[in-house]
Amino acid sequence: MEKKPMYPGEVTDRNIRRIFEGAGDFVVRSIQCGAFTLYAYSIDGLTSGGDISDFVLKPIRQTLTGESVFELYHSALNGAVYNAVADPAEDLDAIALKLVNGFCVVLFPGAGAVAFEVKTGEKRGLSAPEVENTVKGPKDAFVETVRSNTSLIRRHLRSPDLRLYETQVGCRSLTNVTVVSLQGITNPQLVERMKKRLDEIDIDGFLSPSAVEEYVTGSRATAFPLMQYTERTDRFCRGILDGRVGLLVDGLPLGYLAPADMGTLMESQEDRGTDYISSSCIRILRYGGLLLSLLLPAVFIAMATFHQEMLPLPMLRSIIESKTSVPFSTATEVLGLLIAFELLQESGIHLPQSIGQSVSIIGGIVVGSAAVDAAIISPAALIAVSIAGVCGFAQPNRDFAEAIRVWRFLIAVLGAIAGLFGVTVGLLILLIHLSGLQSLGVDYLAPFSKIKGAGILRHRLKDRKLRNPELHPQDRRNQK
Amino acid sequence: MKRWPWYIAALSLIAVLNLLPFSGTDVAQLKPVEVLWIYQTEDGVVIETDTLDRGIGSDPEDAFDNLMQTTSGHVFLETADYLLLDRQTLALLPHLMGRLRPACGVCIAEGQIDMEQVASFLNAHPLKHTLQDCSEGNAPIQLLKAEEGRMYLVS
Repeated sequence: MEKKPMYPGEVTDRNIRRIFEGAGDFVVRSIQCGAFTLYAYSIDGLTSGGDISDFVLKPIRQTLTGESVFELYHSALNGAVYNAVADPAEDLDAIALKLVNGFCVVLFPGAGAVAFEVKTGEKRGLSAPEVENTVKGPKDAFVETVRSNTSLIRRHLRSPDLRLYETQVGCRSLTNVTVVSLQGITNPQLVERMKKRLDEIDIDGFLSPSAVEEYVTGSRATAFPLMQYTERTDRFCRGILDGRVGLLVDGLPLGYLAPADMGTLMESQEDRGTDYISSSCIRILRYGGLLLSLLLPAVFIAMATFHQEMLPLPMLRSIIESKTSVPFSTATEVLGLLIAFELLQESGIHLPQSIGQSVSIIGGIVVGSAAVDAAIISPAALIAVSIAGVCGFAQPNRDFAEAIRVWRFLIAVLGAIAGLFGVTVGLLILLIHLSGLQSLGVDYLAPFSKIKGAGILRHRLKDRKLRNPELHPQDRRNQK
Repeated sequence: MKRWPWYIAALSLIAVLNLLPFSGTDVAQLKPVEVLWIYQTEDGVVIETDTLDRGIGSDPEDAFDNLMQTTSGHVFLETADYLLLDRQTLALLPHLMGRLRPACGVCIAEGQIDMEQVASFLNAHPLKHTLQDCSEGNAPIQLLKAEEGRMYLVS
């Protein structure tokens, strides 16, 4: 089905002005070129005034000559106006799009319009990653400008086979979105599926990360991320080389990679920075942390309420001793602490970094130890929840860690209701839920479907001769 | 997905009304027992614990019931590591298998046992045979003697 134009009508000065009527930053300049009057349109702030003067107005005045406006139009398109980019803008939609993307559009009345690129250089400079820090490895991270991001990718991945499909999403925001793939490696079906999903999106604005993730992944009812995001260009390029599809969204200093499965979400960039033995050990530790983060509060509640005989006597004694003056049951205590922990974390996020740290210290240490001293909570419960919290922070993907936090709470409730039976039921429900998830047709638990430890251990690079078969890359072999 | 809130509400209601088939005892209410001494007196069977609780009854069941009812808190027998008997109550061994852990060490106690001290003594001098071994009748039971405030084990 053909899209309805946003701005129907003829390409005339009046119609162009009508599109931006009331916009204070919309600039119109009429230029006398021989016997003809041309009009130059631009948006102040998105374009550079100096560049418009030097690379649009000056050449038009000095070098553009012709007997008719058609002749002027064609010679402007064919290089008489020396500008790196001169695109014909054939309708009002194209003109509007070019203008909001930092072009200067020159109208040749009756003949057409030409868009010259004169984007302003004002954008955030490259900086080191703020979240995904590594000791070794490159320090360049994505910025908000999609073109800067594509240039960063090109610098890491100099293959001429790199393909960047650009489109706009969001009928009001007209957000530039780029699908990144590597011809000859990426499964074309994955790329097509991604393009199709982008084309099907029909929303006003495509500005927030949640909009990207929900719309592109099909808004499944799950807390688990179905796309991997990264602020690191090297990690993004690694994903592209592995045969995954990348997505860049203008305005977001992130790159998205799909499909995402649990194995990739548990990988840290640091894994590639250290030797395979160390990183395999760290990965095992990380998976252990994942289990502790998910299960420790629930198992603690279950054992303290239903299965005390499973605790060694000295430990049971010390737990009982610590709980003698506490007025709450273990379940209430642990669930309350989990909520308090979430609140503390939430308050830390919304405050400026310096104050956030103070709040964390006050909340975690001062209030925590005061609550223990006042016998409002027992040290054992505090330790269980704290260990679970710390293990949650060891997860490399924040979205995944947040999904684990949600499930941790649910499993803790089940543990409080039915002990280890409830915990087992919760785990089974989680497993069924994860087994049902797919990201661009790839199963979420795919890395664990073969008993090879492939999803957990980091193999020697020279032993990894083939790309992940789940992604169906066109070229499976990545080395001889 | 729209049914989930109803399921959760139903489960919460059942939990609130205490209708769930699962019932737990919070760890704070427990009195974990490490040593249990069962002996016969003229009044009946007496059970003493290292938590200094005491139950008495005409038979072991009565004594256990009495122990549970007269103690503040929940006497927790699953943690019992040592069982002391006298010669009259030795016959109760098979019956106690259902009440205590089979790995619980067993000995015959003689003299006035200090229940506050006996656990640390037995931790330092582990018993050789468990309730499982003794109830099957194929293990000689050790003797724990208390004389003049001192305890010692006789094999």
